[in-house]
Amino acid sequence: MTGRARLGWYCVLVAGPLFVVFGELGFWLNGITPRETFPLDLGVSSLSIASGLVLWRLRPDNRTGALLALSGVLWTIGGIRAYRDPWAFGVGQCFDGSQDLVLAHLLIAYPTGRLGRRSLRVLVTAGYGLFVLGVVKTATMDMPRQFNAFAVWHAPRVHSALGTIGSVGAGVYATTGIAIVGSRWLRAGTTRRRVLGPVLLAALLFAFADAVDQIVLAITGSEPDVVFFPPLVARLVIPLAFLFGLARARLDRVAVGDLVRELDASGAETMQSALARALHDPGLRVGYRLGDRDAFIDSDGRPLALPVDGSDHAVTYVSRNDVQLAAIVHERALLEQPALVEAVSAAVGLALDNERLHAQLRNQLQELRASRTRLVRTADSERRRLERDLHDGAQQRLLALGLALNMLRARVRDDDAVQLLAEAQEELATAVRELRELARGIHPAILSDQGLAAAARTLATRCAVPVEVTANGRRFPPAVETAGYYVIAEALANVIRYSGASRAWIEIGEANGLALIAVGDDGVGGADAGVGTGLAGLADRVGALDGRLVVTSAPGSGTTVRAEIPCA
Amino acid sequence: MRTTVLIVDDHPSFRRLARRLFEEAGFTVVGEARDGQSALDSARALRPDLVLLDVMLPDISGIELAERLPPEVSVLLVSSRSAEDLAIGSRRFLRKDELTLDRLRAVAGGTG
Repeated sequence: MTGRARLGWYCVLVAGPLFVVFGELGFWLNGITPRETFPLDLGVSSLSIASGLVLWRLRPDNRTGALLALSGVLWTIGGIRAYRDPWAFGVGQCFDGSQDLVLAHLLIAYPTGRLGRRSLRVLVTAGYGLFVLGVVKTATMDMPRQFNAFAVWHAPRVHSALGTIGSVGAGVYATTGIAIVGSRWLRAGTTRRRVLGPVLLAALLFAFADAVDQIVLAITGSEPDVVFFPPLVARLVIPLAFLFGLARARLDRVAVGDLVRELDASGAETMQSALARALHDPGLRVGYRLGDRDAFIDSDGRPLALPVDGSDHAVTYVSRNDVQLAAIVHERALLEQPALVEAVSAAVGLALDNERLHAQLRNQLQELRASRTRLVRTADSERRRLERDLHDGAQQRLLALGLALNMLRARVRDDDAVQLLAEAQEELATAVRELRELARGIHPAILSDQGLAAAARTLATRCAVPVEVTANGRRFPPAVETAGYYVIAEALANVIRYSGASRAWIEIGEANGLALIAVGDDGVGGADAGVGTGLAGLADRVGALDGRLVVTSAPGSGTTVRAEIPCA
Repeated sequence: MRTTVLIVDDHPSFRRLARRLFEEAGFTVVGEARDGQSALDSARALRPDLVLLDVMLPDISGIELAERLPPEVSVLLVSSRSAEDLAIGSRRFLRKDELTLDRLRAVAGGTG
């Protein structure tokens, strides 16, 4: 603050209270209103001016503070009409009620202090027209000029008509102002509501108290002493509400220290929720910059889309040592509190950097998992293609050769030649059988054609012990069926090799979006999933599909191999 | 009267040799088809006594196609794969490498 500005503030601090006391003292000295209301009158002036000045100091870019202080000044000027002086009365009478015009302006311009739209500017200009009406009304008062220096035209009817027009106009104007703030509150997000809420509440309170005042006045023809109090008390709340609404961000900045302590205590995984609490924006999201790429990921490592221009949300980028760390996606209204956002961003810089590294790690893990899944799927697809190629190529040619040999054998009469042909046919049959086994090992055709349940039944028929199959025939995605098939094949192979079981069972089902594949036996148990059973490789295959393989094998209680694979 | 046959397989070399084999076994081959839809059309038009039907066709499973053929037509499913690999069940089935004149003559006896 410059020396001149500081001097100005000192003058305000000294002259302000004197001015206020002088303005309100007339009512008290001359007993125009109940003497008990004097502290309230004084409070309205001083609180409005003081709150306005504080706001002006805190938010010099926002006109709300200046307008609020002006309303207090006008209230005080209106008060001097209580002095027994024609000029004081005239001036005070002209300004009586003008503070409400400024308050309505404040409401309409709240919280930025700027009207923005042309329609609002027209509305507020029309509102100030009511002040001119008040001046004319003062001039038409039916009283001698020794009491009212402005009484230049004694016209009681005009005065009365202007009074009615002024009252109705002021009522409509104030109601419109409240409706505009109410509508803003309804459309606003959490952040903006925190600013609008106190003011809207105070305005409604005042409107209610004033309405009661007017009704009593209309019924009784005069205001009983007790009715003075509620509107005055409500007036006291208004400047405090403006101060509270706009100064909340300042209080929030004080709470930034708590945020840092909270993060230190609980770890970086609460970063997003801690920021959401500190900035009072429950929908806040934090995106961490992904290396040098122009992309952001959330704390789980998933891509995070930033809001586009014109949406209800905005982005604040957080940097540390000239390195952009993160993007905080928040309600656009928070842009009106840049100091708060900056304070929070600066406070959490280090924690954000840590969390960014964690998020990058999680992202790499996700990419690794996705890569492993792609590898498994590609390998399965290649196996299917290879099996199909064997079937359509070499196998068909060998079969055709077999048919040709068969027909040739029917035509040959030489016994040696018949013998040779029989041997050739035998060799060919062996080659075809071996090729068939090879193709089956590469990829079982029945799995693609008829699904896991049918393939499981085929495996069961080949098993050396009785195997009961329970399955409903539901088809699963190819990768799931392939993994399930190999789990069953390996588990049944283990039943034969190690279990000493007399029977086994296969269950295939689905629950909660998971394919459930289980193979059990009544053998000796005690199997170790990690050693030599081939199940470790299967666990990797199942894991690549985000599934899990569980082996239960207590000694003497048989073995159960259970795979759970997402299939939704 | 000779038993009439429709041969359905997507491999031309197999169709060609199967035709010769059937003719040598005393059948009359009335037509050939390379996929399920043309097999269905031919079976309805030609009304063969027997359809030699490959299990794995490009557009439809031979097992499924067998259900859609006219009921009076006998079906002999064939494949290069084994019956257990295909879950054939109780249907009449031969592996392709088991197709011999003797077996076809036996089939002809059962079909006529």
